[in-house]
Amino acid sequence: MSSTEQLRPYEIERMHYLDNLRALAMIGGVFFHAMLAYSPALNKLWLTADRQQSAVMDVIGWFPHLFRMPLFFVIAGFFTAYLASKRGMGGMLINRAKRILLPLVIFLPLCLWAIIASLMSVIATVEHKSPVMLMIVQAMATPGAPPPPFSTMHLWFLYNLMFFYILTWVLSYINWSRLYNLFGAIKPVQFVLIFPLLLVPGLLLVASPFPAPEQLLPQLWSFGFFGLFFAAGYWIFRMPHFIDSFQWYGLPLLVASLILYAVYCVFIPKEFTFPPAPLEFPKNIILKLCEAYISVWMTLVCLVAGKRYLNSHNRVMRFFSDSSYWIYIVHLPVLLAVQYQLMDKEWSLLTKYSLSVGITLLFGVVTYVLFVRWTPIGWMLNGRKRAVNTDNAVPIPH
Amino acid sequence: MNPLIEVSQHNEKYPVDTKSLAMRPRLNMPVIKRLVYKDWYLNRKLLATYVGGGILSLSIISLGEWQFFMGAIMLISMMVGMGNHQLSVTMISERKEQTLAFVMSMPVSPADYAMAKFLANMVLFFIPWALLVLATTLVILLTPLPDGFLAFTLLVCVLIAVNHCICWSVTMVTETEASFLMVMIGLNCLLNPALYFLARSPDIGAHNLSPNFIWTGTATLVLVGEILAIILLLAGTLYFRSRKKVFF
Repeated sequence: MSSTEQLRPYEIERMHYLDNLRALAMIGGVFFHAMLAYSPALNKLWLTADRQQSAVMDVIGWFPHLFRMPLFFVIAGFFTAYLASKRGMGGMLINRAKRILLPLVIFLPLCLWAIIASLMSVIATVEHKSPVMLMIVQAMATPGAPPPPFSTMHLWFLYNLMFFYILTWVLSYINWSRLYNLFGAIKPVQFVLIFPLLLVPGLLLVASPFPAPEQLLPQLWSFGFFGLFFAAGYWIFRMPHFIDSFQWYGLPLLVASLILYAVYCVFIPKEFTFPPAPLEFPKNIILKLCEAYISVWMTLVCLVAGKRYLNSHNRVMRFFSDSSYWIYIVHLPVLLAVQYQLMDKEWSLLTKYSLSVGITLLFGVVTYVLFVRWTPIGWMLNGRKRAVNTDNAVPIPH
Repeated sequence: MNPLIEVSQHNEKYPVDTKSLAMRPRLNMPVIKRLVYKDWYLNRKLLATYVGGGILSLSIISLGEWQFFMGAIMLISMMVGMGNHQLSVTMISERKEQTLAFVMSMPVSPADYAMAKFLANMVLFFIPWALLVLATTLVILLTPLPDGFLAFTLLVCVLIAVNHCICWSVTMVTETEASFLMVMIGLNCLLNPALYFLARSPDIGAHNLSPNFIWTGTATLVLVGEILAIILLLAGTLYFRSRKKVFF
């Protein structure tokens, strides 16, 4: 936006906490996807659904799901505004094409191939097959069965980001100054009460809990939900003290979110189906309101906590911040391959979960160090490393 | 060098061979590039609007059955609107707002001007058009939509490109708003019968609900006819317009 060219409030100091929060959001995806194998709610829909399940996994696992990707999109919007102010719209789009579109085009076919290849290699040998695996076996035995619809899988966020970048360019021709001034005058209490309501129409278009918009056709609800978080991040870039204004709200918002989540757990269906079973009106709206408020409130809690506790240069966090993009891209094929091997084991749920997460993260870290960090793959994902004073460097959006 | 100014200022004392100026063998590429860039700059907001509309159309298609038809019509409207709107801005408004007088003050010949208009309008239309056609093709092949729908869709998309080229040619030749509007309205009215006949054709539309992509000889004939029409229209108009000795 033209007006952002004048305002560069974050140019002189590196936003360590945003880098670190983004890394946590990415690596949190590994823990979340590993949990799905042991979720009773998703048993009929997840490829590696295990015999061992626990409702505790559902209660713990679905809570971060409500704000992990919203937080990621806020940070993505923030860095997009930074790039647009630094390089202009054209420069921003070129940069994003290199960092987001190119990895999507390269890694999506590879991940699809890896997942299908590993599935085909074990589908005959796994004794305790999941309902989805049984369905695949049945489909393979039926000649003329339609192929499954194309999916962008766990890389859906890259696909959606590309639409958000294009829309950023499209919307940059509108004069937003009035709206910016209006938002600029909004008080924290007003924000935490009103902004979640804007997300409800988008959420009403999908089931609860909201799925990943992984289809090839852009999903309208994704623009109305993740798109608004992205827009909020873009706007926060122009409001240097926005996050600080919530510093006293952290704990109350956390407590309020946990209370709302308890309500959410009461109303959410105990088993998810495809297509999702329709919910009656009051129940549905309660779930959507809970999702909207928890996602906004917990995103704010993460930003406030991140700024307070993660805003320093730390070698370990910096390493994970750099490697998280790669780890996230490769994690799903590896995780599924590990979980296929664990499906017939008689080990405890916790052992299986820890092993699947541990091996996946180890694989991601080792391959990052060996094949990515100092190679063209690393340059593509994170840009070339320059010898600069890291404390004063400007943030490098991934 | 501007032939028109040369003629008006020095007509009697220093007669200028306008034919030699207009028929210069080489095009003034740096200025042509500037003119193309100018058209891109003037059209960037329009292009952004139609791209945004295209994304919205695609997202509506995914919502359900009647939404599919609504989104598909919106997508066609975006393609048609994008082409017509940019012709209006780059050629008709240029006349109405006296921008042409400014262009004439530059060292360009009518041939340079024709080439600039050709490049600008074709690049501005065919790049987003190609992206939308690619996106639509992927959507048909990779989603549960029947693959048999692809042949019909491709022929309709190329037909929209033919219509754009007809509009461009008429505007380049006549340079009047009235003729541009009449042709645009006429072509848009004819698009519906064309869709009807393509959909009813036993060799094209009959396969729309087939799970497999079927390409027939009739489809090839129609496609070749459409492409030939585009080539002939563009080449003929460019040739005719380049031979003009003055700008109007």
